[in-house]
Amino acid sequence: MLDIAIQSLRNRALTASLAVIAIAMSVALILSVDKIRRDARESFLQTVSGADLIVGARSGSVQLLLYSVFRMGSATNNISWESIEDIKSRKAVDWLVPLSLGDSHKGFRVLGTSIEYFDRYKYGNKRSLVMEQGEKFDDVFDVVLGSAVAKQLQYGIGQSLVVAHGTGNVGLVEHDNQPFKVSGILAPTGTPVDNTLHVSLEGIEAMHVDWQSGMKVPGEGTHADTIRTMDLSPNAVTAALVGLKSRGTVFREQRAINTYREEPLLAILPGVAMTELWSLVRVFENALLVVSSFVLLAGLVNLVSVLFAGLNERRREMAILRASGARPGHIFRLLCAESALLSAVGIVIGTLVHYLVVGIVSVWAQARFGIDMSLSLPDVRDLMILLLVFVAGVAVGCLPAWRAYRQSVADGMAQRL
Amino acid sequence: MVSLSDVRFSWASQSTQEPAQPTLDIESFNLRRGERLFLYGPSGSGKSTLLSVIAAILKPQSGTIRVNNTDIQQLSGVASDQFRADNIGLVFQQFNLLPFMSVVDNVTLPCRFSSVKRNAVVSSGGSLRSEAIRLLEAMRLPDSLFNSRKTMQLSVGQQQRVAVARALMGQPPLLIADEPTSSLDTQARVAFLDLLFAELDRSQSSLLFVSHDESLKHLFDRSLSLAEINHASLSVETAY
Repeated sequence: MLDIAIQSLRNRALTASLAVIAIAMSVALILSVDKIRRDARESFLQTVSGADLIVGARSGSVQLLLYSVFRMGSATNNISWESIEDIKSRKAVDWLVPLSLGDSHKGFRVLGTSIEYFDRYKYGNKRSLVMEQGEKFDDVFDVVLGSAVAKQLQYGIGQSLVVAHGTGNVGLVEHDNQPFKVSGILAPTGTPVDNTLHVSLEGIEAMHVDWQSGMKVPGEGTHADTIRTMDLSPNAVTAALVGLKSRGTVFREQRAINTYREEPLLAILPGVAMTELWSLVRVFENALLVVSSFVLLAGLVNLVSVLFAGLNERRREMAILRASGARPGHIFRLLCAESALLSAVGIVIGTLVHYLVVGIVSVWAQARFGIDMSLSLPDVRDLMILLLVFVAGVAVGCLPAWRAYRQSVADGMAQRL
Repeated sequence: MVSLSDVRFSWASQSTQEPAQPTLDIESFNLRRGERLFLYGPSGSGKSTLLSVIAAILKPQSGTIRVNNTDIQQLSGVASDQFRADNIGLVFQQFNLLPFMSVVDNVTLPCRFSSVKRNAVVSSGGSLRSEAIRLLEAMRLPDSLFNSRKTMQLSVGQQQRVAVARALMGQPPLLIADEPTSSLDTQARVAFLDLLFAELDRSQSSLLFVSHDESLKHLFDRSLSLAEINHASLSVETAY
């Protein structure tokens, strides 16, 4: 039956290729959308992949995650530097990177941190931050830009800028007597790092030298060189990333920090909190799935319409086959073989197109969004999708096949033309 | 080869309960083994219906039909399909060929569906392809056409000869031809019949040849007017 189907389809190459294209497009789209969905999710969940714990003042875990990692909202309280020192000196703790937030520059958040941040911060599959241009901060007034900040504000190395207190965009008093200078620009990561300006903790302190209780002290302001000579060790920070010597101690350390006596603190496991946060955007994820299902549906409808359209003009063909001894069952199988063949070819082409698209897009997605889209062999889920498409293709192909079967029974061998 | 007794068939009674005028009402009809019978009658006289009954496509309401010693009234749907595939070769008025297959593949087509025909070819000591080519050559078709896929570009006469070659594939005991010459001109008709008869001599198949054109009847062993044997009223329009 299959070779008759092939010959028959070859004879109708144009309409057949339309059906194949419809299926191939659906398959390519479904696979690609699904891949993007999964890779985006993976990228998101691995925004912070280096740290074992995130520590902040006691609040909710999602809130802590939002302000410490995503720079959204603000902290309810700070952590005193003593507590930071205490945690850092714990035996199980390998490293600690303090994070100090609360200032901004033209709508982008400013993060005060230690120089270790650039080595310790990991995203995706344990990827490190890379300096695209320039150096890490060295001076009190050095600032390292995230890639999106540099791109949007069109800042280069050496650009001087002023930082505003508070996190809005307009109407905020600026720390205009302490100009910062861009010392380096990071490569894109697809994480909130791209939208952040990084300064040293001392830099954060420096911009607040002339401030008391959130108000600017009247007068000339202290000169930058004077500030450099001052003691700029911080009193408090907003949060901290903590790395442990062994991941096995993570729950014990979390409990220890959560029950810290001197100050109410909260330690969270980034992966767990991240998953919790992702569940908020599941609606969006589902919407993508719904869209791709509709695309598949459209492809299947196209397949059916192509098969049905050919049916009437092929009644003569059916009659000839019947006259040559084909039973109605043969006719049914012939049409089923046709839709199976069209589906199979469509699936193969669609998969190839998918890989082509991913191959092209991944370069761009990595550069632009830092989404890590790697070419990978189809996994079980992909194969399930492909199988589903094939089964659906054969199933809808049965409709015209059934009609042809009924026609060929009713027509017998008469040539109704 | 074929014998009908007291066969009655009517179209209407299949869909409604009312007794309808039968299209066929044949007390007796016989076709002997190897015989070439010319059956003629005007359109609407039930020729196509009779052929469908003999080919086990339509089941009459009453009567007995025996084809090649089988009571085809007793066959189930699938069995009658298989019986037809194994025992009967068919030629239609026109459009006999699948447009997407080569001429040779068109001829070997029946052997895909009938192991009886396939075995008949193989046991006579040849491949399907060589038998198809032999038949096509016997039909005087130029061998440049054999592998052509453009069957629709063959002349009607050539197409009909390919159709005969296909119907004779596997030497079925019965060949049914439904107005196979009506789209040919007079000269081509005679030439067509000459080739057909020559091949029938070889295969020993019986031939039931239906036409409304009585000018050909002298070429056959016997001729029969359907009106003589069909007692059904001619005023009933057949669906075929």
